[in-house]
Amino acid sequence: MSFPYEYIFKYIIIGDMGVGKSCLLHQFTENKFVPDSPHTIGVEFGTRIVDVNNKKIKLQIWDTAGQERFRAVTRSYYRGAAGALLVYDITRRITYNHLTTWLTDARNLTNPNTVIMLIGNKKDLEGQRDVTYEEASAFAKQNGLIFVESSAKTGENVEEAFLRTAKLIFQSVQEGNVDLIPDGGITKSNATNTNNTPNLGQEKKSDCAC
Amino acid sequence: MSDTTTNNNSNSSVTTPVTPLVLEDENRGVSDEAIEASLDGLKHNTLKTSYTVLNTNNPHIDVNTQWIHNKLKEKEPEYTEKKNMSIFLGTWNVNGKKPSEPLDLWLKDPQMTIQPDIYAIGFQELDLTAEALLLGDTTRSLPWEQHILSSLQGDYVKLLSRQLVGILLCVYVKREHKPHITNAMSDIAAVGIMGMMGNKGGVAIRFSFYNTTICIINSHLNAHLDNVLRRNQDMRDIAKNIKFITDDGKTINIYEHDQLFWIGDLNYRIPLPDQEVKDRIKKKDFYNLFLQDQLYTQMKSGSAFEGFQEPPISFAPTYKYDAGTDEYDSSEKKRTPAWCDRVLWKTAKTAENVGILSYRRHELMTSDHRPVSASFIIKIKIVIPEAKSRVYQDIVKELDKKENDSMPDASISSNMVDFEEIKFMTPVTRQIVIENIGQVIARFQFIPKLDETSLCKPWLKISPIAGMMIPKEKIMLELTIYVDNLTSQAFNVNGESMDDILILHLENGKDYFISISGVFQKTCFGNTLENLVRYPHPIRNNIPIPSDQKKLSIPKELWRIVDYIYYNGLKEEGLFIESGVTKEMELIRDCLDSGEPFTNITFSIHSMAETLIRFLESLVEPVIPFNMYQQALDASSSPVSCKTLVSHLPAVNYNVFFYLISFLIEALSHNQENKLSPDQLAIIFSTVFLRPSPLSPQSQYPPEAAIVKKRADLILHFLISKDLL
Ligand SMILES: Nc1nc2c(ncn2[C@@H]2O[C@H](COP(=O)(O)OP(=O)(O)O)[C@@H](O)[C@H]2O)c(=O)[nH]1
Ligand SMILES: [Mg+2]
Repeated sequence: MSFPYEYIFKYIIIGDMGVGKSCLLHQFTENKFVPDSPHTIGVEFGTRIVDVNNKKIKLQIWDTAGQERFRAVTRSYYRGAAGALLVYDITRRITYNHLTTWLTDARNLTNPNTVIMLIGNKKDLEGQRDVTYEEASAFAKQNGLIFVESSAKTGENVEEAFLRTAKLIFQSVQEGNVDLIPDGGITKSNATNTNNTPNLGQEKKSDCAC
Repeated sequence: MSDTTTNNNSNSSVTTPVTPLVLEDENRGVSDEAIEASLDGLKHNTLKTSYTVLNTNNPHIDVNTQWIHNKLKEKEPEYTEKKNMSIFLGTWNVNGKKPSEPLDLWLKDPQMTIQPDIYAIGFQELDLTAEALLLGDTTRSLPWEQHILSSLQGDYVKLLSRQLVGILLCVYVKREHKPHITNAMSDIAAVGIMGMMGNKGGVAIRFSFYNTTICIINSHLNAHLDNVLRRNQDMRDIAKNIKFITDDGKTINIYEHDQLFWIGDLNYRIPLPDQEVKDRIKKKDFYNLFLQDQLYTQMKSGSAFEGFQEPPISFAPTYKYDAGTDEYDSSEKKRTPAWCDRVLWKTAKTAENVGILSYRRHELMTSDHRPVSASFIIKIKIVIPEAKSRVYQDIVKELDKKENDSMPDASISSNMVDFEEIKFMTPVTRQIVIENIGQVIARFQFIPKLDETSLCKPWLKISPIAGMMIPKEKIMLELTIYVDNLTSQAFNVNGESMDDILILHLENGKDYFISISGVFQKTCFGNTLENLVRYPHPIRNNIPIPSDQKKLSIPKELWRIVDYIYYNGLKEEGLFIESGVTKEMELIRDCLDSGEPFTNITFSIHSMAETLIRFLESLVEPVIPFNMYQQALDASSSPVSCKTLVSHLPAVNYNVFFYLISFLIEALSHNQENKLSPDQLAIIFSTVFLRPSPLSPQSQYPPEAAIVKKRADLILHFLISKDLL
């Protein structure tokens, strides 16, 4: 093994505004809960190297803006995602009700092997719970999603959510279901392809240079 | 170690991924083997790099791995525990004898308060037969090995033994330690007759005890008083020739161990007269005797066993006795007594030195040598896998953080730019400031949205569209909205709202969305005749009447302009020839759109006249529609054809045409005052009545003179023959 990681998986985090997408990203990449971080207006990303079956995998995570008005724009970031974390807030049913729309986008805009994980966030606010575990669990089952409830605040299940997704993607890779092409969101690290930075902008660079 | 690794690999290939069991496993973090494997991989890689530079063209990655490796080593104390373990090293030249007396005096020394965790027992001259030397027969070792094992008190198991002719090394460990010993292996080096036979030489055994590596060498070096240099050379040859090849193909030498022990009949002598030696022994003056010892002097001068240490000797020389007696050699040869049998050690710089428990000789009389033993305390490093995994995770996390921190970052003064009111043909510019708040150079550029090719809507201009900032630097971006004839239709006719989202992309970093909004003031300019006749009320704050309701016959704005000129300027000299004033024309336009009367503003008649021309020019489609442009040119030579053409105009267009021609004819009737000629008017108005579609090739170049004439002719027919309408 010549690199600290052998694969790069691209993840996107999607869901309504305020469900805790950015907090999940920060908790996972920095082990920090930043309660008052500004709304994401655009797309942020972070990376972390993880171990799956003793393989080092670099996760490249794109955190998108959840506002309805950006919907059309954020769609461009789905392309090439190996994993999609679909987040709702267990204390706000409205965010749960919107899942179908998000899921439709995710299904339409990613490839069939993209692993989609449903995350019910803010698990720490048990008192304000508005969506039961059972209900969401049934929804996940119906739609073939893996499901976990997490708290970006306490960190509970945050690691799990990201790693479980990675594990499933990796399994897909091993079973040969997924092509190792950059656009599939999975890149195998090797000497000729070590570009580990997001390539949306670079792809399009040629377009706007003219 | 090797077993564990193999197990792991096979596990991974049959893993079922989403069982809670696996998840728990992950919670515990990365396994020790995994870390080792990746770090081992690193070393290989370093090797490979030096050979195949082409294959590894990303030094950055290697640096990362090296960095992790170094950090992990640096933080070793955080995940290792130290434990004291004792090792007993015994050496005996048995002079070819078979076991005949109990070994308790040697191996079970009553003065020893603890049971050693490890026994390393070395023999020399175990087998002096030719078979052993020539055929490699090792059967003679068996009785000795059995004899040792039965003499060990406590639950010991044999780890490994290795024999080279008469040189035998056996390592025993307490049964409880066996599972923690890994990578046990042995090697031999012969330096005897002709430099290769096994009558002299060394055998070595190495192993890892938890995470401490130990290597033991038992050797028999060349004999005789004068052979000092030869013995030094033997030692170096043995040290050089003994190599261990680990499972993953790495070769390690004896010095690559935390603790290295060298025992055996090293055969160094004391170069003093026999009697003097014996006298000093009698007086127990070992100190002064030792100062003459060849091994001591060789080590002191750095000629042999460099870096090795020896516990202080406080016992009489162990060679040479008359077997079975306490008498030194009484034979003819009268060999001078010597400390042939020794125990030395060398601790790696990175490891903690041993503690000496004892260094003694033992009164077994089977041989012409007395056995010798030394016991030491070794600090064994025990890696706590959970702790190591945690430290490893922390290091990787630190690296991730560094990487995340080294991404460019910028702040943007506003994500939302509201232009408020935007008027036709009136540019408005807003500024936003981006600042590099990261630690690296930030390159930015605007990028198009998915499936789009342009960065923004056509009525918006961004400047600059790309740039670079050093940390803390700010750059001002200018956003300008300008709605002209070409872009106004979207708002005037199609009722689109004025907004857009821009994507500002930081190279290797995040993307920012910038929302643009504005309210376009609807205007009769840049509009269509068809649309305008659906506004009986001022266009600005009203919506068109439904298409099935009665429309105006001509746009009321057109009527207002013409009406004004008719009453106020028909006799003005230079009408339609002189230019208007831009500011005044903006005021007039405002009145037209808002329904305000012209009486509230002041302007010259020429501004109103030019407004008429500009109004017609701004129409999305001219009075003679694009699809009739070519027909019109073709018809221009014949008044009758022109009449036919005009009769085919859409209703509103026909009305407007009729209305304007009538007006122009009226204007011409005052040519005494206004000095207008039909030719002038025909030229001026033909360019706005009749033009090619902006999408057509004709519109790319200024029209040829012949075309200009044809256009003018068409209008001229109507101006000079009143009955043509
Ligand atoms: N109690 C609690 N609050 C959370 C949690 N995750 C996020 N928040 C809060 O929810 C709000 C929105 O979080 P943010 O990550 O910005 O949401 P995003 O719009 O989906 O990115 C912030 O005020 C956070 O402090 C959580 O797990 N528990
Ligand atoms: Mg956010």
